[in-house]
Amino acid sequence: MTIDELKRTWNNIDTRSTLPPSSAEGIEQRVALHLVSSTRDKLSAQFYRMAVICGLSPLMFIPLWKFSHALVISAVCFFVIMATLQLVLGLKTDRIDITRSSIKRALESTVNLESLRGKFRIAGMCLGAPLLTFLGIVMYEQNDMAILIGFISGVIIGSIIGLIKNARLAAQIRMMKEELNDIDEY
Amino acid sequence: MNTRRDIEKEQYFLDLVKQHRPMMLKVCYMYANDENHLKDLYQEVLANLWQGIDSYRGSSKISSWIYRVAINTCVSYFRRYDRHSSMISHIDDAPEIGAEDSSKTDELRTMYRLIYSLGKLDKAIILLWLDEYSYDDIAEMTGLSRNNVAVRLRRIKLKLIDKANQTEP
Repeated sequence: MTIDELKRTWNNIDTRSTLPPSSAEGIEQRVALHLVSSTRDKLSAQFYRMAVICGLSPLMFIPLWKFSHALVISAVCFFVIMATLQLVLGLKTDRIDITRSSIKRALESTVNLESLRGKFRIAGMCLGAPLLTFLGIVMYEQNDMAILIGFISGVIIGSIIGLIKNARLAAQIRMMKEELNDIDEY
Repeated sequence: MNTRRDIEKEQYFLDLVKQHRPMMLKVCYMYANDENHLKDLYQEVLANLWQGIDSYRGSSKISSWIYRVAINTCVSYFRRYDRHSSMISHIDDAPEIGAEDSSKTDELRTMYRLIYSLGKLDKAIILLWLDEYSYDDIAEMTGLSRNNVAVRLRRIKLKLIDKANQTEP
């Protein structure tokens, strides 16, 4: 096959075989009627929601104040940090505007955002695991071994799931970074 | 309640996307892994166009702007659990999209299989070239230098021709 044949093949493509016109029109109507929002909007809304949830979560620890002041203070610090990280992600996501950026910039924005999410997730796991263990110990002191086993199991299982999820994402991000790093300026 | 302006904007948007639908679908198809992904990408492109339509200033032709938004959407659409995210080296490994098996889909499948294994940025460059954008336009839209575009395009064309000739009987 030559380059001209490649171009001819491209120009001969019948796009009706990609998506039936009725399907395409249905999607177009939904967007025009504001029934659909972009992934960017959904993502930033998700980050802001998480920031609010993290901001309110310390309230759950108030009943534990009588058992351990240190635990409640640790939990408040943890959730304030998590709320701040979610806010940062929300603000970064809002600043992405792919309708105005170049293709390279759009790719870079995605890589940067997803890399940051991965780093914040790791930070959350590193801070959250000791807090959960601390909570388990405090509950064990008040109740029995079963509570401590339940907490430790939850921490281990949660950490494994988090690490697997992060590994998959890291692989995708690595591929995209390789493409960007491959750009040699002449 | 929809104002008259909203209704006009909706109609303008629908006319615009209908006119450029073949181009947008070709781009989305080349980036999709399966039919659901194709629909998701197309929907995402339209959602981004809808959001950006008011800020379009006419600095480039509207078709170029739509093309760039379509490609930007496809390169930045991040699928969290993507079974096909690893680069596929053998074109026979490329997943099938579209159920029909008629002569109309042969060109589509051929191009898909050839282009599928390219990286996101290389895919964008070759699609722009196939749609006869100049090197300067491709450089502007991609954010790369003209020299960089020329070198990458040469490499991509050689790769595609080589792949195409590997599969010829």
